Amino acid sequence: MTLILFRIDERLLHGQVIVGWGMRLGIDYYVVVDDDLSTSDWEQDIYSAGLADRTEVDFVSVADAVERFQEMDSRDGRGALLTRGTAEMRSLAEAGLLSDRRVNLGGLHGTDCRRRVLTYVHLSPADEQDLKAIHLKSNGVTARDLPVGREVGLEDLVDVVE
Amino acid sequence: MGGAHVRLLRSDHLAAWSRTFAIQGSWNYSTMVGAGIAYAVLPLLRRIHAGDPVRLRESVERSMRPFNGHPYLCAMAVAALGRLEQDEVDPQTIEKFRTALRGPLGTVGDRAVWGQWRPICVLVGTLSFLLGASAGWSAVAFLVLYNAGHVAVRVWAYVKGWQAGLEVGRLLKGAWLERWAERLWPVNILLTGGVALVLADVVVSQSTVPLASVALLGMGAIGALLAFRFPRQGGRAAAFLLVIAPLLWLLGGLTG
Amino acid sequence: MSWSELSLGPGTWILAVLAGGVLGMDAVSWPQVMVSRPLVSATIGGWLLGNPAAGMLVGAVLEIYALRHPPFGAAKYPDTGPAGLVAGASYAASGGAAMGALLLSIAVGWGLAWIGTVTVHVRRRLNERIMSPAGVLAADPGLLEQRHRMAIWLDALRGAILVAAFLVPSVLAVTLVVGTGPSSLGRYAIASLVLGLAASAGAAGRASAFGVRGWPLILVGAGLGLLLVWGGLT
Repeated sequence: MTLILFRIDERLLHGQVIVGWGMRLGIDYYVVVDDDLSTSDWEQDIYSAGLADRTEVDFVSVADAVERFQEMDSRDGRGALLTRGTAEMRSLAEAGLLSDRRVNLGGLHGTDCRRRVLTYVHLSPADEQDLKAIHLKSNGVTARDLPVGREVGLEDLVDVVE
Repeated sequence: MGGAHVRLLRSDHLAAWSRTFAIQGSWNYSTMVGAGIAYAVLPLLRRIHAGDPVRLRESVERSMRPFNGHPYLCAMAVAALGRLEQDEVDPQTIEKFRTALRGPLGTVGDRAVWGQWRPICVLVGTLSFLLGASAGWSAVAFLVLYNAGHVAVRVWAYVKGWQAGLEVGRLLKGAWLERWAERLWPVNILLTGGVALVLADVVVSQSTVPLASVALLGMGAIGALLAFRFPRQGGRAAAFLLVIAPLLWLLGGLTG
Repeated sequence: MSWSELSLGPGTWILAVLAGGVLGMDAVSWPQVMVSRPLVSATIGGWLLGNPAAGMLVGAVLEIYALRHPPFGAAKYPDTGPAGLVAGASYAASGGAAMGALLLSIAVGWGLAWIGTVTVHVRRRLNERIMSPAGVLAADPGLLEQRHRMAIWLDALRGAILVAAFLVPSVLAVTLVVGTGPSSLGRYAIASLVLGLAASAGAAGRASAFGVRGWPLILVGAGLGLLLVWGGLT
């Protein structure tokens, strides 16, 4: 089990993740699970531009992530798996891959259909349903922007009991 | 009129670049630096879409959408977005570009500028003061050293952003900022340890109170290592000790 | 020190409030040249009260504390511009020699820096209103520029208000309450500050380290610092 961080953050590979979490946890490789990005070379170039040379990154589709999860979770070093939204992480949870993992909610910004629950987390009704599903199929969901930040349980963000 | 046929003037670029110093002026939780990007890129957009208020409005609206990144490197986003608007790149690609770019601009800038360059300059300024330079000169030395790097980064970011347009990803990967950040971090930690010790000595030597310095040194070393290993708890302990110090002093004064 | 000896007159107060505006604006809004770092802001505070070196000593300690809070992303970090000015001015006003005044000035500066953080948060919320609705601003770029500049001026106002509100109480507290001689618990108070500095340096070192490696460097750095001290260079 070398994937030690599972994070939902629409900014994917950005400062809080690479510097804030990556440097703190000593992350050696990232797995970005996103169907669109997995087929766009120029976008992959930009997203991976912030990584140090020695740090590896894989852009994989949701289907590939489910299929290759064991391989990605047993590499040398420490890894982090990132998704842009809640739906992709829900797919992994429902495939039974996150049963003993905690999921970190790191950044979903405001849109017209999302309500603010934390300064860095805005949720739509669909996001809330996804998070509840992830919560049930994993070791829990908590929100925290940075390792030094306050950890907030999902129960404080949405009502997890149906 | 407008678009690919328009030639931007040097003054347009200068206006946009100088506005990047105020790019975080309206930072907020919804769009973050989005409105700041629009504010900075406006001199370019006004020229590109001169006489076409509809396209100007559309491009300003696009520019105002959520964006984040290191404020100095946002100059790269401003220039690149101006370039894409001039080249009449389709709005969907511009939006994908913006979304992708906010990641690396934050990462590279945070790691190089906030993570390494600024602490190193601060520590150099502090050390010069502790080693006997006047307070005024030490502050000026810090500001000159720091801002030489600061302005250089803004100029580089803007020029490269304009030149590279959509290709800024390849340009950022392995850029000099990244290489320097990787080289400088050991210097940063060495300076942090050194300056903290010299500063502690200056504080202790100003007091007339006897302290068991060897014991204090040992406890300090253990405390620093523990805080390095557990930075959250270490930081909290440090803040507690900072607050408790004057309270102890006051209590001692009251009780005689 | 008595009330009549305080060097904080109305002219100095006005200058300090204006400086607070500049320092409040610098950290985020404009121009980010880092006069808002405590090393500089506390020196300015000390200079306003006639003792820049006293201000810088306070600023140096605050720097070691501030270093562990790099402003990555939307993270909360201490707002050290106005706070540094107030802390530096307070210690300088006390004469810049009494240990109790130094300890209290530093603690006041650190506390005020976090009060400043709350005001930064409020301002970020306020900016959401100022910069909306997006459609109206996009249709009128002149209005967009006007609102953006207004947001910057509000940040300056925020810094000025912080200094205006806290400078006099802080100077009075530091000079009149603890600008006195040694305390019976003095050694513990100073030891507390020194250990706080050490812990803060450790946490700051980790913030700049690439991963968990590098921990020996903090000790090597301290060792080099020790050589400077033993060599009489300080």
